[in-house]
Amino acid sequence: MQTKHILVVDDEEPLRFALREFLTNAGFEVECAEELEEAQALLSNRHFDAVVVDLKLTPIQGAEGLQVITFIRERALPTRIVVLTAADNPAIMREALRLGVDAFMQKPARLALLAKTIRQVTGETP
Amino acid sequence: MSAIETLLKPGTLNVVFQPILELDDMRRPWGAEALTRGPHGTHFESAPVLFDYVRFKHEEVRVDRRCIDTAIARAAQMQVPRLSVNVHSATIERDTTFAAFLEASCRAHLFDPRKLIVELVEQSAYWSRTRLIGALEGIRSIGASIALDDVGLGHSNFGMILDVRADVLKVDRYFVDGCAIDPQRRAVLRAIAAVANEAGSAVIAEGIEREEDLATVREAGIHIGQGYLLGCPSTHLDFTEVDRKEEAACSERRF
Repeated sequence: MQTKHILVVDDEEPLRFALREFLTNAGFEVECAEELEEAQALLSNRHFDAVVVDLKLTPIQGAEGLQVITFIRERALPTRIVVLTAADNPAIMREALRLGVDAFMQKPARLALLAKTIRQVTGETP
Repeated sequence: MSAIETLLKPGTLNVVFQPILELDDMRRPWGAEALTRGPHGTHFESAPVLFDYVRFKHEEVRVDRRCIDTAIARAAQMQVPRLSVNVHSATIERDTTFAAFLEASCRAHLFDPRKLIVELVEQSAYWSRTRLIGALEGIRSIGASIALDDVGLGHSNFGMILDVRADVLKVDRYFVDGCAIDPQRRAVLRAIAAVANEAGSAVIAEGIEREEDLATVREAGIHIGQGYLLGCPSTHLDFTEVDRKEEAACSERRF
């Protein structure tokens, strides 16, 4: 089976590092973006099977992840969306679900469960 | 520190030069295009990712200035007959002192602005035709020329050709790649060559990668080209064999 290409979008550098290392070891090809515009540029130029995105990409504003989801949906990209967030604002979470996500996980999440979820949403496992 | 601030640090963006050659005498360089790449080993090493990021950040002006100044500084050391630099249309429109910046950069690096070609990269429609034309006049007033990139695709259409009145039309690789075996691509090349000829513009075929396409481009009436077959982008090009007549022609701004 072809290696799945995953984009991790999170503003926390240690978490990006950990996710890249874990998911790469789990057999995925991983790229990371720190901010909204970096994610948009990568999504514009490369195919990703799934994006793992935090909803809060800056300490102040806090809902930029929704724009990543909107970007994918507006362009009808075939990229599956896994939200991995510590955000607890019900309105933001409702909006994410309204835009359409394939899986929703709360931080801290077990990495093995994240890998399993990515495999499921990308159709690698049932 | 955000990625954009890191990219704007001196020495972070890399400039490479791709030769542009006269196709009737391929020993003779016509000029070079400066191409910017992000830091090695990052996804910004890919120019489309880098410049989409810059566009999404609305930082075209600062990044274009950094890239151009670096390119001019490097080109001044290479005796390049013509230097083509890419500029977003957003920069042309928003940066009201862009022509003055170009002039100052050329002066600072002892580079003749008449050798400078500002290549308009059209990733989005411009906002104001009047403002664009005014800005282009400013660039021409310092002695530089205007090129229209990716002619035939996207916003670089016949409307843009008329609005910009470019000194140089650069035909997108889409029409060049495979032109030897595609009569319709050949027809497009001939049409653009005819338009350029009527307008007194030079025309450059981009993306020449096969001998048979090179021959076809020449048959279509296009006599300047660039592409991997003619020369790969490099950190340094040797232009010391430039014909003196070529330099004279450049100084008269005739293409």
